[in-house]
Amino acid sequence: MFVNPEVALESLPRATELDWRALDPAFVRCLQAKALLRWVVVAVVAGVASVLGLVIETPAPTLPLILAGWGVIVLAASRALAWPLLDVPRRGYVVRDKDLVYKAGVLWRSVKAVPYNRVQHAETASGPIDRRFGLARLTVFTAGGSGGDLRLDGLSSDTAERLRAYIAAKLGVEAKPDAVALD
Amino acid sequence: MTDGTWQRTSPFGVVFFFTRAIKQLAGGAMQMAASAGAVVVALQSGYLGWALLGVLAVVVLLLGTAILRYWFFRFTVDDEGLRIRQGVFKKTHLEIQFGRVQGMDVERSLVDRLLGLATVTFDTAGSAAREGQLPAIPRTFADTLRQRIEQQARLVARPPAVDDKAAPLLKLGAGDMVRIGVTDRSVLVGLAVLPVLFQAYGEAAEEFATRAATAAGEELLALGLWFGVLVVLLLIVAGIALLTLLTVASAFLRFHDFELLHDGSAFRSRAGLLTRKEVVVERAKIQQVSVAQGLIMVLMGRCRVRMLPATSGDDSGGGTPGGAQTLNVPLLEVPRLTDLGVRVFGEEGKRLGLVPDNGAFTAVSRVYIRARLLTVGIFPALVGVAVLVPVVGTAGLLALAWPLPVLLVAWQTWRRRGYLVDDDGLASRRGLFGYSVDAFLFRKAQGATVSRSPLQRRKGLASLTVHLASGDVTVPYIDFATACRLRDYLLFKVESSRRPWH
Repeated sequence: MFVNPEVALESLPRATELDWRALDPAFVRCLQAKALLRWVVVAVVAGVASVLGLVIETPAPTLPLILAGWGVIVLAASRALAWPLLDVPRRGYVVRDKDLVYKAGVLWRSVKAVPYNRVQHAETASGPIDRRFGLARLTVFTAGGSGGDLRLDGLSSDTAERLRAYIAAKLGVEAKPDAVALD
Repeated sequence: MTDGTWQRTSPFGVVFFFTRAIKQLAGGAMQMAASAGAVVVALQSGYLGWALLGVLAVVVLLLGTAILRYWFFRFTVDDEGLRIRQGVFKKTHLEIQFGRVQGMDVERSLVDRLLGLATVTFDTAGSAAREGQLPAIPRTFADTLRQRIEQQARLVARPPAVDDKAAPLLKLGAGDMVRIGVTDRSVLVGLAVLPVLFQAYGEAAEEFATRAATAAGEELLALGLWFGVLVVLLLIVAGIALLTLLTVASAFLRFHDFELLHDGSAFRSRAGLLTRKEVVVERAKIQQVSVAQGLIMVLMGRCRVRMLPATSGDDSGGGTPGGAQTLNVPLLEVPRLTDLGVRVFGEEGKRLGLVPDNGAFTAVSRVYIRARLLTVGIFPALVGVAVLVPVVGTAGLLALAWPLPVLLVAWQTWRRRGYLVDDDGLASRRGLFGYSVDAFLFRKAQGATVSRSPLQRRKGLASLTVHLASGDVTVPYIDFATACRLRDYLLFKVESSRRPWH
């Protein structure tokens, strides 16, 4: 028999008011450590360059140039070190029964949702610095280009692994043939 | 080998990783050229020994990397799918469900054939770089894997069967070829090239003109200037005619005797003068329909339609041999769009408007114009003034005129922007002179993003981006609440749909 019950609009899922889960608190320090590492390398290179610039006689006034360069480096480095403090608290994710939702952005904000039944595969990855902080990244891949892929940075390794397993289990359920071939 | 234990590939996998390392190293031809150049310099300056040592060191380094990668590459296969663990320092863990695999590519090099091995690449329709690849596994095992995947695939889809005798939905004749040629965008590109050509040959033409005038006698000498102008005009006309001729010829080559067939489960197109190219797209595999209409096409009441299947990663819609291809209808009368839409989207999206010039489209917020004016117009103009005025003086203030054309363009693109929501799908329209409409069914979506810039937040607006397997479709500057409602409705459709999206 053909049944076509009305769907109450109130019962539709709503992704606006959600209980956002924060990322691992260590993620701020991890990002800062990475930024620090990058800028220490830049500072060393710049240091060598400024010593050379002072030693070698040049017609142009080197000292103001060097000072200006260091000013830029200090500014950019402090921005890179401070940014995670603003950025990380504004990121968050929600694991729902049917989809994974992720929000990010300080000025330009975005909320992205990926339903599990569209996920192709999921992957966890962690670099050497991430591992020192006990963090990992979970990437959920969807079909097509990279537009629909969801990258969850800064999860604790344990959470990332558990989430990956959870999503894999969801995929397993969805891939069963009973959900297939009506078209 | 399918009992779920972790295993390594055959030791000959080292060869695979070695060649891949070389390919990565040679990623840019520039780098190759640079190192080759270094070797040449070394050879010439008598440092042959050092050069050889350097090459040897690189080879040893690559071999070491390859061996390490081989050692840390492990995979396991069970009933559900395949898992791959790899990485020396950066560990990655890849999981591929058999049910999600779109296709499987078995490649056998000469070495592989001698050793009875195969390299298997799984196409999961995900990002290309992340696709699973199993190097140097026994051929028999590759066959087992293929059987497993085909079993799964049979549950999902049957091969398309198009009846040859069915009457074609659309046939294009010679007149249509001319229309396609005339509206080809490469004419515009050609027009852009013309000034460059004039730069190169203009002087020669002028000289020729003067000489011809001199030869023709003194009375014509006075007319030399007019004669030059005439020659230039003739050149322009000839150039345009030549380009049009070329595009018409190319239209004949590609679309001669174009036929579009439809039998309920698949669309098939056949076209071409010398090589007949046939494209089959299963209806269920179509992710999105794109209608494009340039200015000339608007005047002719025709449009171009593309049916997009899922792209696999970096393949930008062109279609690879064996992979799903885009079905391109080069010319269609606008009134027939509705019928085509019903055929593609079926019962679900029969009210989904494909006709571009349709009053049913909802306009986006006018703030769109202001945002474009700010980011593309006023901001660059201020930067331009700040940069130009110290250099060229007051003439730099001319940069302040820039926002005016930007405003006109922004206003026109705002007029073209629009979206249309049906129970089961969405159509988004954009354009400047012409139109372009992207339509899709909600259940085909892979995900959705609601994003807000600071200006949008202040105005209570948002942009909705829907991620499809064929690309992203964005509806900019709509009410935040509308965007959220649309997103939630789309998620509901995707999550409750029992039909496969592909």
